[in-house]
Amino acid sequence: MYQLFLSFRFIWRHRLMTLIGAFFVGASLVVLIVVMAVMDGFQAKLKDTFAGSEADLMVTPRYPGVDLDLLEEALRVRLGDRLVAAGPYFETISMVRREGFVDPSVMEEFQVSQVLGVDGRAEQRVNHFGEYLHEAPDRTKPMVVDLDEPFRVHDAEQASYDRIGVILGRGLARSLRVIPGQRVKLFALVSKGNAEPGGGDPNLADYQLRQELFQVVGIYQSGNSEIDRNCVFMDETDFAKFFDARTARGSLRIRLADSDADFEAARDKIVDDWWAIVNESLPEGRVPPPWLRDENARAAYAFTVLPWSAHHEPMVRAIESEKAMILVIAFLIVIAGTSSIFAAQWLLVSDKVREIGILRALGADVKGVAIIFVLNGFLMGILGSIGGTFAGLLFVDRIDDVHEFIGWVTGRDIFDPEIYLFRQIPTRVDPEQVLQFAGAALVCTLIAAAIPALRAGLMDPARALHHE
Amino acid sequence: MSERAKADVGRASGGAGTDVVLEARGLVRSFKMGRETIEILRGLDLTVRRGERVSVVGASGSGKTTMMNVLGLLDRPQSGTVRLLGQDPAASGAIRRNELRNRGVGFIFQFYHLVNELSAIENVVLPAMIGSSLFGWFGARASALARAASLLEHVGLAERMRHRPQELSGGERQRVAIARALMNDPAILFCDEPTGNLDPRTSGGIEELLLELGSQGRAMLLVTHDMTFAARCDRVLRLNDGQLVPLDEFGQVSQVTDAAGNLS
Repeated sequence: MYQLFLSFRFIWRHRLMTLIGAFFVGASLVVLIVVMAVMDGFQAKLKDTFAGSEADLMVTPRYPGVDLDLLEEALRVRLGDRLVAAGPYFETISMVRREGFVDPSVMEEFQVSQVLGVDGRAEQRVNHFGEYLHEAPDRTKPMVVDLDEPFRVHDAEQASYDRIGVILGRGLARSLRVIPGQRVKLFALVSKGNAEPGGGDPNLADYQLRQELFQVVGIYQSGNSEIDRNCVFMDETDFAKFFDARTARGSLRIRLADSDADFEAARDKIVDDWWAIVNESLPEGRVPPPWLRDENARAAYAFTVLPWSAHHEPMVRAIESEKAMILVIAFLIVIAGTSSIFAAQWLLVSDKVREIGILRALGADVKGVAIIFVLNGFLMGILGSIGGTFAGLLFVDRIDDVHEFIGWVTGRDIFDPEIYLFRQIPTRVDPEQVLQFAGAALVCTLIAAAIPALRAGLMDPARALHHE
Repeated sequence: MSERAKADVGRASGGAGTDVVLEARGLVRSFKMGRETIEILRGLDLTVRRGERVSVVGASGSGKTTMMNVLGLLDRPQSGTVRLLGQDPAASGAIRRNELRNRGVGFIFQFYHLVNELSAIENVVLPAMIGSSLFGWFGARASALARAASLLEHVGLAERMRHRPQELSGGERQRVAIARALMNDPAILFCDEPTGNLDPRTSGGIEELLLELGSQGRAMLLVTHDMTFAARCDRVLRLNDGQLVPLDEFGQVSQVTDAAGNLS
């Protein structure tokens, strides 16, 4: 009891020192909370950007003759509520250039692009396709095209030749110097149908070059530079016509109820039921190929099942390791902050040598004396942790005001929305993580306080009494 | 003094008897000073009986404080034994040693040694608080505060209970220290030059108070430079060359005191 009593009295007597110690703990906790909230926010925003331009899950059948509608149905039965939406997805490589006279010898006029065939309506349910469409590179202008039929050409006069519209990634549109309403020419290498796929070395004689003009109906900007810089979106039906469905690989892109939590379960379900899914995904009368009927065949022979992160693994891992590094650095800041408690407690013990001697003379034991000073540090830690947590959360809540203020003071924008593609600094607060940080700061203060406390407890009472 | 305070103070182990409260045999204590080892206590022997008031005189640096620390269980001898209330603290372990210091011994120091953060009554009640467990204290708090108040009343500080040490005079601080020493009703008081830091008038009052406490059956070991005060105790010893030597009232004392009655 006397430990708590004396601890409070010592703290009150040295309240300025206590407040300074608590302030440093709190300040370091603010740094930790803010840095991790911003990192988590960036990570979530990037994930949202990537997943928003792709899908939570992509299932690519590796066997021929698959009907993507049947495959969707088979998966819908297996995944139940986990499957929120699904849409077909085709991709291939094509050369593209803007309409008009160009010098064929100048290869810069041509861009290699990735052409994606999607169902305009389904795509909006699978990801943020609709949100990323813009009429012009100016992001402030709303999309004019009908989101129900995003690839439809509205201007009938201009669409006299081609009925097919395409949507260009913003970066691609910029490098081609085209805007919606203008046309681009796509080039496709299409099989003549007399060559067996995979039957030997490709022979140009078996292919023909197809070219066609397409009107640009919109600009796509997701923030995923890989897509924005290279991609041409096209309706899946037109894609199949132009590129010949046999030369492009089709996949099913799926949006899950919970992209992180449901992925493993969904993949396991597909792996478990792969044979049934294969059979159900084939039109009536078709049977799986012999190599899939082999008794050693596995789910991996039939499907490639990938999360959105698979396409960005280096980036995802880089962010994770960056977060880990920043966590370590921020935690070192917390340790530096709590070292103020060590210093404050060490000074307090030095100041209270006589009192320690008195307490020992009155019968206090080593543990009792040590507890007084541990409690002191603990109370500082509690003050710092609670104050730091609230201040950190307030800082995160007002981070854009702080950002504006810093920008005003320094005279420069430290967070360029043109670079990050979001106007507000993204933050995400994980309450559990915040509690862990506060707890860790508290543990650090306890450790920092324990050393001076031990020094106090182990003091020779006879010497302490006569300390001057 | 109130009847209750008298009763509280008078509870100290009954009247004068022959029971041994403190017994030291062959105490040796030395300190290393650089390369040299200085022997302060060289086989010191002492027996203090219940109700006995023993004073120890000696020149500065003779080892009086070291002796008090060893006898009061604040320090350990290199050899020899100290038995307090019949128990050998060296054999009992740290917990028992702390308990003995808390309940069996009362310390009064020259420089009062009060905790500045606490009021007079809080300083007095501190030994009881240290001796109680967390939950035990809630049960004992009211009676402990009442006893502390009664002790402060007894030492003449009824009006200064809520004052901090820095708001009290030297004499008042020493009275608070005496009340604190009595809080757990110890069997023996260790008084290390209790009047050494006070003016003659104030020290006279403190002397009277201590002698009164000593006459109420509590043993007292007093270390002082004041020969007049020392001579008022039941026995006077001189710490000389690391050992205690008995002095008679006239012969030996007169050889070591000056005209003012202080040790030379």
